[in-house]
Amino acid sequence: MTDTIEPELPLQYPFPLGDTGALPPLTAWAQRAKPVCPVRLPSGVTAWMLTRKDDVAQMLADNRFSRNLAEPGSPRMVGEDLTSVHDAIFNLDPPAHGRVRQVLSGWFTRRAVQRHRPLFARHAHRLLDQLSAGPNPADLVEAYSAPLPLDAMGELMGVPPELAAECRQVYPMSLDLSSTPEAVEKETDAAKQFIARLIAARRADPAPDTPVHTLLEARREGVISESEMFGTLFLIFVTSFDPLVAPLTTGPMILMLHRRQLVECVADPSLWPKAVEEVLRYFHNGGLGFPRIAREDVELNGTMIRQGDAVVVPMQAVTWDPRHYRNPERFNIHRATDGSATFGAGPHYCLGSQLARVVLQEAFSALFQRFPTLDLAVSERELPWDPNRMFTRPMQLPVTW
Amino acid sequence: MFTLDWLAETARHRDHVLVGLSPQNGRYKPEYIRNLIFWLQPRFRSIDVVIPGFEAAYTLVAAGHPPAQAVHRARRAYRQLRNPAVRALADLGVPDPSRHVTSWTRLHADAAYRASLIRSRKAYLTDPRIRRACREMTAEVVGNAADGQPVTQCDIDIAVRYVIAEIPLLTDGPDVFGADRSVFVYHRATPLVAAIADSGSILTAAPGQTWAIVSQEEENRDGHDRTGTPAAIPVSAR
Repeated sequence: MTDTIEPELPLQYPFPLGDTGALPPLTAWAQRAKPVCPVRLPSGVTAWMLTRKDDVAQMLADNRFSRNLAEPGSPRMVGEDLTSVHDAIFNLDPPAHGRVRQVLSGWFTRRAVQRHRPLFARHAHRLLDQLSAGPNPADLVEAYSAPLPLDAMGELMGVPPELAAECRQVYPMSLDLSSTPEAVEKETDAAKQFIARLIAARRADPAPDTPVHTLLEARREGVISESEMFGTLFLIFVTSFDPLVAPLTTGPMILMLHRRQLVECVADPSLWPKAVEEVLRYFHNGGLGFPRIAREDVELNGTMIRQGDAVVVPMQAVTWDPRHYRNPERFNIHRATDGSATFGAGPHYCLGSQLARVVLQEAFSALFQRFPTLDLAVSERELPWDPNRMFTRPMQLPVTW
Repeated sequence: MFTLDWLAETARHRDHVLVGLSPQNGRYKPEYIRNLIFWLQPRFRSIDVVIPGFEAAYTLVAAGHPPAQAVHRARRAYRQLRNPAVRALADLGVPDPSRHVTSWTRLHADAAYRASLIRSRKAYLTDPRIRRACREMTAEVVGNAADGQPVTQCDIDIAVRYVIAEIPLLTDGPDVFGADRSVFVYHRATPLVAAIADSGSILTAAPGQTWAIVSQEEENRDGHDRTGTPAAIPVSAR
């Protein structure tokens, strides 16, 4: 898209995707020409979209913008999605947010997550044994990228065996932007029912040394309320699956398309963390994310955002901002910058960012150490990206080895 | 010149035609593809063309080809079918012609195709008639690719994925392609369509889904089922 062709405003979301997961052309246009840009969400709500890293960092750290979307009538992407769950850590503003986050933060520090490497490696190798024994070519999403988080995070979270099948039905949630509000509400309700059963099961039969147990104990000790415990458990289950399936799919894809860099990683495994950072930087982290609401009138980059207005942020625009990332369209594992910005900024900076890194490092290294010749079985132009999926990714990744 | 033989005459319509191209039949040469599309397109309000995705490689793998070679040949076969189809639609003035020529792999982007594929896999596992039809068709395809070598149940287990991936196109064309009514057009009758059309199957076709066999009049006259030149993937009968 050239600067001479002005798209009609508000932009309609979801946008047409960029090639092979690159920044959508409309997002790139907004970043150049309309850094505070009106966007109509599928729900019909119009939100302000920020696309420059400095603006986003300022807004995310500014407590004049609220994350609390639990009230009926709050701006939604489509319908009553995960943001409608009361008192989820996602929906809390300071100081309640800090109190709830503190309960879980010990689980997710850079040091704490290291002990889970063997768990992820074990599940990765088991799935790769099955891949190796099955047909070649194969769909890597079905064989590896989708089941790995389900199996490994399921174990880490302490999902009891009797709920494992239901967990697989409920997650990953589709978070489908083309869905109806009724379908979104139904999906949210199914996840709520699963979480309610999980809580009942783990109250009756505690699974110490799991985040679920930590939340239940904090509730028992009165540190957090029942609804804070429920909402936060609800949220960490959502974020345990689809946000991982996406990079577990796009990561192998982009590495296979950059064979020289992949060969470097296989030859020198100390490069895997660099590869993971670049995968995190290169791809989106859930489209526009979910809205924030201005508590009062705020001027941002020359635009007045009125009290009650919704603001959304595509984090991929942040990690493709040419003011901060040189030649952002180039996939380059040797960049000096890392992928941190994809996880947000301010008090809601992604709690699971260090765990996500561990999962991806273990998954990529296990996959390519085992299958160094792994390659796409179709042209990259044939890969089926679903633009309506909040965590958009190829829904199938045919590979051969 | 072609003729269209509708499976159910009462289901005739002019809404949407879905053309299945096969890499495993010698008739699908560029000239035939062009003529077929030129004949069909004016007879329907909209047209889409579908080509097997990576699953086409399974027939060659089951027939004993090394996977890398099978994938390479399947990718080449895809291009050989796609390019003349896109050119024909472009020459007919169809806007954005490449969007109307789709691999099964690309169809995974569509939630309706994915949901239908889940139902199809379940039907294969639970409906004896669907299972039998899928395995019969797979055995035939692999048998032709295997050049007379016996086909084992294990070979069929591998390659049946190819046949199953096509089922959504036979049952859910209206949903997947956004049409009220859609006719799937192929060059011959298959036991799978017969099993789906039969109300006894658990796999039911969506409302508005119909099927038709397209024949070239010359081949009706001389009775030949194939052109003399080899297929994109050299499997004879499908």
